[in-house]
Amino acid sequence: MLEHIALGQYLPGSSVLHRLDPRSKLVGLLIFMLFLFISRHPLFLVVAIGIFIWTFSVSKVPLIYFFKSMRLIGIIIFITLLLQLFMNNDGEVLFQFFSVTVYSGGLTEGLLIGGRLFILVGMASLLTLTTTPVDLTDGLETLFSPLKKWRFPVHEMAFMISIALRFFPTLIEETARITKAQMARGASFSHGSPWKRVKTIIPIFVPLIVQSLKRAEELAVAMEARGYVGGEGRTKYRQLYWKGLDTLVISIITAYAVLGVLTRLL
Amino acid sequence: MEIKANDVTVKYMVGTPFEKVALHKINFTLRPSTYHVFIGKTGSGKSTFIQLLNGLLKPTEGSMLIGEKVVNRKTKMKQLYHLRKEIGMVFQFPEHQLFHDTVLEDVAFGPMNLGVGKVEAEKRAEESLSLVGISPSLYMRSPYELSGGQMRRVAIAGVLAMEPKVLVLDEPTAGLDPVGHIGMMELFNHWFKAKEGRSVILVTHNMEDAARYGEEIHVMYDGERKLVGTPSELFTKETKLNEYGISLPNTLSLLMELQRASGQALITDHFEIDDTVDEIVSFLRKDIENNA
Repeated sequence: MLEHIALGQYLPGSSVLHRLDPRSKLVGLLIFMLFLFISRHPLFLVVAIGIFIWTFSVSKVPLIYFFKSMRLIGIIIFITLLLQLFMNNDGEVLFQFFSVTVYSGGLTEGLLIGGRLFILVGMASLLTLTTTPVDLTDGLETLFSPLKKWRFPVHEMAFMISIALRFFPTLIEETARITKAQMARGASFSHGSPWKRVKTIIPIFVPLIVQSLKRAEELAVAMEARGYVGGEGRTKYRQLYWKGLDTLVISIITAYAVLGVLTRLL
Repeated sequence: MEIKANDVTVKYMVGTPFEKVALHKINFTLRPSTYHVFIGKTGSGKSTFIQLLNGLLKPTEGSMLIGEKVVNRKTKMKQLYHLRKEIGMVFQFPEHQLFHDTVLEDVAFGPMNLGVGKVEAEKRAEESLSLVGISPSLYMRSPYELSGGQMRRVAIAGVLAMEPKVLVLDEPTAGLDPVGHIGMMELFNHWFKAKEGRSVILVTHNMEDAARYGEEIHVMYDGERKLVGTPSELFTKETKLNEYGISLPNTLSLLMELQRASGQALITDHFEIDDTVDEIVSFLRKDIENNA
């Protein structure tokens, strides 16, 4: 039942995008998103689409996986497009069908907003498809580390996220195991009144919580036994390496941002 | 109850890059009223196989015949529900399934699910609790207040209270101390012998248990059943067993070593520690006589 749930949506691979430093991917994505809506100049839009297509092709992510991750957002984009088509009254009348009138402004606005939304979410998807959750947290931790000056517990937060990520599959496995054990004892999740079905959660929920608390305590003991103290002065086993490629990516994105500002101003 | 697998294949994560074949076209019948033991390395398909028995898992291809009931890919979950009356299943670390406020209620959970009334369910619960050796003074306590060994006994009572015909055990003694281990195995054997027509299907890594209790031992390897036989038939095939990653019971491997070192034939189809001692004593006696 639960075997199809993957954590995040990371797809193992060794493409250029997989090998990029998570920091450059995160910063690059942030700049890309911020400036995507700054200009409507055709040249800029072509560059944005170009970057998106280039990123996609270089990621070697199979098309099916990409579209799977876009399914939900696809619906929202489609609705946006429809709303723009029917509600926007700018420009010339393109065609009329009974009481529905479609204006050219609606079409261009719809395509513009829908297209940009698609690219925006697509890029974010590509990031999570090619970056392991651990790399993402590591990247976020370093990027947010300046906040330590204001006593924000960056390391602790990142560590909590990593632990949560680490134990997520364990939790799913455990849920599946307990569910099976209770099913073997005749618990049924597929028939009975709605109230009866809600009540069937209890035999799964109680053992799951008990086990999780136990595991958390064991983990705490194990960490203390090995002298874990956290944050200050702690080195990392997994090092992040900033390579020439990362600088290149950031340069391209910066150039794109500058182009966006220029086309907006001119 | 007869259990039959017809060309059963089970795959996990079908249609993804992570697809994995857990059982490959298995074809065999499990005799009714028999103590079956499944042995094999981790990942050989034992655990997958036992989940087919009460419909927790459906075959990807082929079909299972469990008593009168056919289970294949298209069988509805609701129909499988009835299998659970017949087949009781004790998972690894069964104490993880306890959830009720009191021991008695927890054990009665299974029978109540089968539609047995509250009074009758509690009567059954008391019976199976006394069978597993939990004293009545603990009935009203929370299962979480008990010791690990007691919790496991309560969980097993919860399965026995459903009065199954077939008891499926997936490494039921994992994590128990040696005394607890023997007590638990004797408990299952007692249950098995107590009534005509009962079967046990035990999954284990413990060859001593397999040899002592098993009437029919099945060797799983790489998603297939490779060997089957009584303990004395099976444990004479040492080279074959090694190929499938299975070692002999300690008693037997000691005798085999002795046989190899001395060059004399020994009786090697008994596995009990007493038999082994007898055999070694008679070997030594012969040795002394020969020297004299």
